[in-house]
Amino acid sequence: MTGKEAQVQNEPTPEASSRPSLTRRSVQALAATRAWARLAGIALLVLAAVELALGLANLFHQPALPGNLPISPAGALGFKALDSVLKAVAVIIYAVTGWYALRYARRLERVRQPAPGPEDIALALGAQHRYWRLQGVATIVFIGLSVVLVIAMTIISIGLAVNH
Amino acid sequence: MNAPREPLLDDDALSALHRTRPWLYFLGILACIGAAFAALFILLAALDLAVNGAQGHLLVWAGIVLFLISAPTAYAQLAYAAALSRVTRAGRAELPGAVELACLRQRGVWIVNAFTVGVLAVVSFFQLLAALNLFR
Repeated sequence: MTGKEAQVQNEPTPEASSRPSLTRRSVQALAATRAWARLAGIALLVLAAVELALGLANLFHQPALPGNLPISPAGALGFKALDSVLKAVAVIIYAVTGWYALRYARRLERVRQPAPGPEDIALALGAQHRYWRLQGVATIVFIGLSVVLVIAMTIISIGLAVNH
Repeated sequence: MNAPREPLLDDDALSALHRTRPWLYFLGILACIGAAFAALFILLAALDLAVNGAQGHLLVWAGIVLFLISAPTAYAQLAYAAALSRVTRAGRAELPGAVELACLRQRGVWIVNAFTVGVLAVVSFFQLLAALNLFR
């Protein structure tokens, strides 16, 4: 679509002319966000890959618990399994949010056109809303799992204290 | 020839902005709590450093990194959420100005977001190198 065709397509209908329009600075601010959203998306994907490698390295090379805690093999395995689940969830969260950030950056690409339409703005802002909603839900899930991990560690510690 | 017309704000765009607001408040408040914990952590680690010597040194740095990540995040997210609240309250005449402020602040949020995630990625990378004993 040429710039002129897009301009003709964006001519307001009588119903639409009563709506407010975005200022030039708003469009420029949205367009300038694309690079940052892309950078955040790439960094999140790198973070997911590094966390995955870190999780695998810890799984095979590190002891289940720090120090020399007198814990049964089954308890150590349970703790390691819970810790691995938490790390796996973190990897998934980083990867999915990274993909959502890159999707927002792709939607902003359309806002950078000479004459973006209202649907381009709506699509970009919709993608941004989905990113922040995912961040919020992921944070709730991560906090919930961390609380479970802390409770599990407390129970293990109390069990150790009772046994010794 | 007419100048390129600015895009109209349709209901979908406004609805997306309205629905983003509660999540930004939620994340911003959590980041605030994180910054407060980081400040407390720095204080306690500094006290530990003063009493026990060099052992608390690493903890102070961990607290400072946590604070440098969470404080700007909290500020940027709450500022954006406040701008989104203005969009919700604005009448037709003030709407373009309110949306402009929201667009400018969302750029700020994404700059802080990219910086934060970048720092986390670098820290994780060094953690990985340490886990693989590549510093020996």
